[in-house]
Amino acid sequence: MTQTESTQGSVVERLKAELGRVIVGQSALIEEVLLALIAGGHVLLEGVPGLGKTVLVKTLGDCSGLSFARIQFTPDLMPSDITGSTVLEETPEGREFRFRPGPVFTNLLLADEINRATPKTQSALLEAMQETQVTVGGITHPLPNPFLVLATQNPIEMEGTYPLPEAQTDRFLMKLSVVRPPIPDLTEILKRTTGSHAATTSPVTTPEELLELQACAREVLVAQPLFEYVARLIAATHPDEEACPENCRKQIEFGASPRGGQALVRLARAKALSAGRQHVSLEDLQALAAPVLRHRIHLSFEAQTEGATTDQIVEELLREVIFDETL
Amino acid sequence: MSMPDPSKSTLRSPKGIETQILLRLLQAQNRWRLVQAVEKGCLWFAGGSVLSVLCITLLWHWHRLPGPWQWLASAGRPFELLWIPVLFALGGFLSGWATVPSLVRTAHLLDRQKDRGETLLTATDWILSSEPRSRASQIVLKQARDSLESALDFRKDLSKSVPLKPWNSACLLSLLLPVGLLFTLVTQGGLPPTASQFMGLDLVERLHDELLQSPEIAPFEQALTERLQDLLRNLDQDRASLESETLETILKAAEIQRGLDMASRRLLETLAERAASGMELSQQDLDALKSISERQPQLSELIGEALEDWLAGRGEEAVRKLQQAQQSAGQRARATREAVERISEAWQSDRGDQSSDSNGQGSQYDPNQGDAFGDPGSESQSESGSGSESGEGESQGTADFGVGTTDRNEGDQGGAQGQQSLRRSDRTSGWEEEFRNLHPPERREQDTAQTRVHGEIDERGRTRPSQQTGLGGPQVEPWTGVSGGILEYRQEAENALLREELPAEHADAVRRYFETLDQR
Repeated sequence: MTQTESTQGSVVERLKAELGRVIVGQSALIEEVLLALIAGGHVLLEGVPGLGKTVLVKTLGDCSGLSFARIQFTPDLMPSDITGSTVLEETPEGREFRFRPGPVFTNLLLADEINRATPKTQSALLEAMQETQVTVGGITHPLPNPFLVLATQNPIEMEGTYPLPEAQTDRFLMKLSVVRPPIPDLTEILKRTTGSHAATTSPVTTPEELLELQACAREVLVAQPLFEYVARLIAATHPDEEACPENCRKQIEFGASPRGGQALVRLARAKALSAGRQHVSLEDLQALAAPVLRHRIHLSFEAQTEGATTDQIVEELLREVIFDETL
Repeated sequence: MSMPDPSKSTLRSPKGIETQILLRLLQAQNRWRLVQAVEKGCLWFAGGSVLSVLCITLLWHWHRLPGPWQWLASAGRPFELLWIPVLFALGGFLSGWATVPSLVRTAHLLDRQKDRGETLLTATDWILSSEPRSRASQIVLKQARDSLESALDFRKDLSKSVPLKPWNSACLLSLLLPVGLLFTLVTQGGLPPTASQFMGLDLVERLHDELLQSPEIAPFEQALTERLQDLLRNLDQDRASLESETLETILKAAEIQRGLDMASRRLLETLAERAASGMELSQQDLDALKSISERQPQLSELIGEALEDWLAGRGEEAVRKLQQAQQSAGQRARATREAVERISEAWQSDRGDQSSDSNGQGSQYDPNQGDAFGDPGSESQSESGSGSESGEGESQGTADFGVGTTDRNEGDQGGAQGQQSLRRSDRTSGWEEEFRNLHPPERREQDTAQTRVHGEIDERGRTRPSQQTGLGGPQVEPWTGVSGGILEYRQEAENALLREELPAEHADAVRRYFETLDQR
């Protein structure tokens, strides 16, 4: 490892600054996407079309020197359209089958409206996400490293869609909500994007540096009481657990799996590293609890009828689960 | 990226950093222990002050407490109750000091104080764990050490960041409550200096009353002791020449004298204790001593000297003489009892009287006789009981108010249920038969008017026997208890039936009415 703690934090700051030249506002979204990149996980974005999700991912690729690809999921999309397929090609030596990689062979992949594709196609992508490799025709092809998938779901047009099952959404490190920009930000967006002069970015880091950053993130220290705190927090999401607060039992159908705890710790390490620290703090965990758990906690029918949200439940859990009790 | 220059590294040896961090943590740990111990001690001190106020209040109103609590009140001393908050504070301090916060918790508390974001916590956890050392751990340890050494004087900084709470002083001021209460009570005269004398205040009065209730001995019996001693010396000769009535009178008078001696002894003992504790003898105490002198001429000289010594300020001498008088009264009571026992035994052996009161204490219950409630008692050779009809399971010569017994020594009657069935009698009891079984022939032959015990009510509203006539035996005292009242009642009922001209068909109904009335 050649990076010092000072350069590790500055890489993230440089990326933020460079992305800010193109992306107006959305600072929280940018930071969380970067954290997912450092943590080596995938992100589920939820937002209506036209909020700049594609621009974000493309700009991130430009700033970090990572390759970028976009897949628009439709109902007739086939798995081979994602992973690639073997085709028969004419060569001077004769005809031979050659593997043509699909769009999944990239560093940054934007899977737009993943819920529009059939479950079979979805599973092909999810398998690639989990395994970081693709097997076609009996031959395994590893995916590039780093590999980050940003999948989107359109919350408006749900008719004729195939929502991802809970077991699949659990594979995403975090779920981010892309919100509409406020009026000042919208004004700036209009100003920048409708003129003749478009903002450009330049690479401020390299894929190797990002890989190193990922390795450093895995070495960030986490104290034992913080591990226990995460475990208690995950346990509290289950209504049959003693740690679950009384007022949350009726609102939760079922809670987060251990994968949720893993995601929380990995992202907290990335956040600590981006802040220039070599240890995770309690604030890191509490700040990332909502995006990590909101797609892992499933509300009961009562909670849905009352209009409760998972974010509210996560806030309640953070209030009830006290860190000092683990000491 | 180039490697960092080791010459510019500010890291010291890893062991050194860890040791420095742990030393600081131990200092912080001791500071926290001290703060929490002081807080706990002050809280318990306040609690102890409240408790001592409660105890003093209970002592102040000790006479309203039930019997066992009065005994507890007599064991305490008001000013010694001020030790309660001190002891409580000591206990609270020790319990707080014994609670040692863990190093990890101490580190977390320090982090919270300085908003370090779990830097020290992570470093401490790493030191205490067995994880291999890495660059990240070295960085964290260094950051933790630097954050702790940032203050010029860690201890001073610690005392500022972990201060003693201001309300601790307020807790110490709670001592003013019991102190103020004691001062108020003492100045108003509501509390004597020592609580052990609480009981003595009323005890003297009660013992004095008991002394006054003792019957006075007739003048011709003043030389009772000499007569008893003569009787003892010539036990085989003189007793045969004495008439039984005279002997009975002598023994009865001896018994009265013994009771008087016991009452005097108890009273003298109480007064001697009060005097020995430094209390002033009140007018009530002096009246009690005067009563003793009047009723016990043999002690009057000693008591008079004790009073003179007391008034002259010779307290110790007065106490010694009071104790001497107490011992004299006790010795004479014991001697009288022994003499009465020996004479009674000899007299009974001559007469063969089964209703002797061998212990000579004038008890109302004769274990050889049985009582009106059907307790068969032990087997005896009572001639009065030998001719009575016996129910099932009843021992010979006993009153038949029921059948069976719960006494284990009576043999197995078939369990508790069997005992219950055995206790049910098939016949109704007649009071005449039981009356015959209970009292000797001499009493039965006497007129009922002369076997009654007349009582009177004194100025304090309490009853006491003032005249006892026509006793059945020399050591049998008239039954003034519940059983005696029942028999008397039944006797009156029967006499009433005989006096009135009732139709024959209604006599039984009236008789059953009297019998079924609640006899409790």
